[in-house]
Amino acid sequence: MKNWSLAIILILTLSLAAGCGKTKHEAQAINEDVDVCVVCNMQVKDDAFATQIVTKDGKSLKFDDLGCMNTWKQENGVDNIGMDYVRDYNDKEWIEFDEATYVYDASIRTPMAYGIVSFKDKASAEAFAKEQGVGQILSAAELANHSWQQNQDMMDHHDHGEHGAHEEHGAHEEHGDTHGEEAEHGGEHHGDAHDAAHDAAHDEAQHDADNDKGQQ
Amino acid sequence: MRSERRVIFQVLAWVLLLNLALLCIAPSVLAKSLAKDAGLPSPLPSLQQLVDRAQPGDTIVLTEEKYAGPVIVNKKLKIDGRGTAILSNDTAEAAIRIQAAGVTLRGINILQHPAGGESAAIAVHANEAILEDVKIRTAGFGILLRDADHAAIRDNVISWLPAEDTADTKLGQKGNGIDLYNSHHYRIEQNTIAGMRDGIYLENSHRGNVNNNRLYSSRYGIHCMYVEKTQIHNNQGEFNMTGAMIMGVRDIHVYDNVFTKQSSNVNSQGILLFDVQNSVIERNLVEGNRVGIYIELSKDNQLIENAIIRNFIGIQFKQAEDNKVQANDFVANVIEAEATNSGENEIHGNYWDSAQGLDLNNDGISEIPYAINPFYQQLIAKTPAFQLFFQSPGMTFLSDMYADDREHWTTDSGPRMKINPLSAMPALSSGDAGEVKVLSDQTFILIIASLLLGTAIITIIYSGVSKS
Repeated sequence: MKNWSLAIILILTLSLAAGCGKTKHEAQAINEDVDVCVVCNMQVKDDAFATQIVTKDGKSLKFDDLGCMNTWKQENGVDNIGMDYVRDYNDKEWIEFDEATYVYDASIRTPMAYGIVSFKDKASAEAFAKEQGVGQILSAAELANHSWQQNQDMMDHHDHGEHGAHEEHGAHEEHGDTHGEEAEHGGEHHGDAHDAAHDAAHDEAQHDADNDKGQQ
Repeated sequence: MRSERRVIFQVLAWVLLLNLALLCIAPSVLAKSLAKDAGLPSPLPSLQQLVDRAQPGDTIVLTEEKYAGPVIVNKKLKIDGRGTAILSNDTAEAAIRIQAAGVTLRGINILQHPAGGESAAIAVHANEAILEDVKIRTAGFGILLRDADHAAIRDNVISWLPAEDTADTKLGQKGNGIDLYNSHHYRIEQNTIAGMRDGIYLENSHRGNVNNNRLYSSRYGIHCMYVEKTQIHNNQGEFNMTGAMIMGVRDIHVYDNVFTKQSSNVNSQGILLFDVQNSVIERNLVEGNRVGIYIELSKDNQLIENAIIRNFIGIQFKQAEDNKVQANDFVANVIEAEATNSGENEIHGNYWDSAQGLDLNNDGISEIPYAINPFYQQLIAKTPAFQLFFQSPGMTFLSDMYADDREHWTTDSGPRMKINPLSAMPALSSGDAGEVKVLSDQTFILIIASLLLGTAIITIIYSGVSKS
């Protein structure tokens, strides 16, 4: 009899322990009243641009833009991430970062101007890109090689009507490349390369400003 | 007798008749007004027709009381509502969409009912627009500028129009008051904006001037994203989540602004600087905010002669280096300053009311540096719930014990001994309680003393002396 109860207790504890071991890192709901982006301090709106990391110790870190989450990963590494989430552009459902499909274009407006939106399947991503007329479709793996440049466009685009869809996209991209350095500086602010990157970006801005004057 | 009665009867009869007549007329009047309400499309005069008939360069004066939107203005016109005309718009289009350069709108009251998307009261898609004395109540955005340079937006009032039978809309769900994208050389002056998402939102818009605006009860009073060479001065913000949210900017000048009482939200600040380079922040007053000035990832800026008064945290640095912080006044803040990973700032000659200074050579500058202990901030950054132990004896003790890496703490190398008289002035004049000192301290004490003496004498006379 005694052996039986001992065995039962043992089994119970074991199963409990096993249950605890399998921690799920579930996404938390956004609360606009208190949630601010861990990186940029802006309010995290309960919209499709919000992203989230749940750490292994169960803490939820929320971001207002996929780019900010990327910055956090670069600064803090990915070892402590339990699960990372993005949202479907259409129905705002949380999806795992690795399983989402992404659309990037400099002209897509997101809170921190990284210009990337996420979709739960490739079909809806393609539909979005088709609707916009622009947009590069990327998988999570391809995002690793993405330049993460913010659209801090200093050129005046006087001749295009809606900035929702640029026609002169070629020129735009070429211009964007020069700003790559600037975007990188968003990622590694206290790196040694910072000074150089910053100066280069600054010179570029100056150059643009001059161009600007020339145009008018 | 009889004649009197007759008179009374006659009067009664007349009254009855009148009532009957009124009863007959009233329904027809009612019916008429009903027809007016139900009449769709509305019988309101269309402003679009007036615009279509006008020649470029004309001035349209709105004489009717109410007009129906939406309107597209595609030629250079001046539309003057004389402060009384109302333009009401129920469609998702902007009430007024400006597509030609040099359009002026003045003295119009706009009601923009539909919410959602980028539905705005005024959408400007052309250069040199002038918007003056326009009063906007909107359930979406207020004024939207897209690729519109050289705009002048002044003396407008923009406020939130709550939709009927809905509870309070969250600030994040609302539209912005004035929203600029890729629109340069703007002047935004003397506007009053209340209850919107961001009062003034500037993105990719350079070389502008934002001054003398009043920004209340919005998410962010002024919100800059990727802005250059812009002046932001003499603005006033109260009860916003954050007064000025300055992000991703360089070469801007923020001066003489007043941001008070930004404390309603757990993430409130007077002025937040994030990724700000090579900019000057001077002579601002931040008072009664959760955090006075917050500065992160920002380099080569100058913070000079700001008055940082009665905030929970005066100034907060995070990964902010090579900034010059000089001649600011830190008065009556619960925590004066917090700094993490921000060693290399040039902090000198600020007034800290709790710093213990020692001025040996009588130059007004203390010879004892004032170091900011980062212990508490580091602790709550990892576990915010530890804020419960704020200023508990244990926390104070542990902070005092903590001396790790002290040479890298943010330190004022020579704190000023006395408060800057100039920056103390606006603090007094903006006293929110409106305490006007009528009595000098001396007379006050005199009055109290004489009152005490009086009561003592009365007590002695009535209870002590007379009985014995």
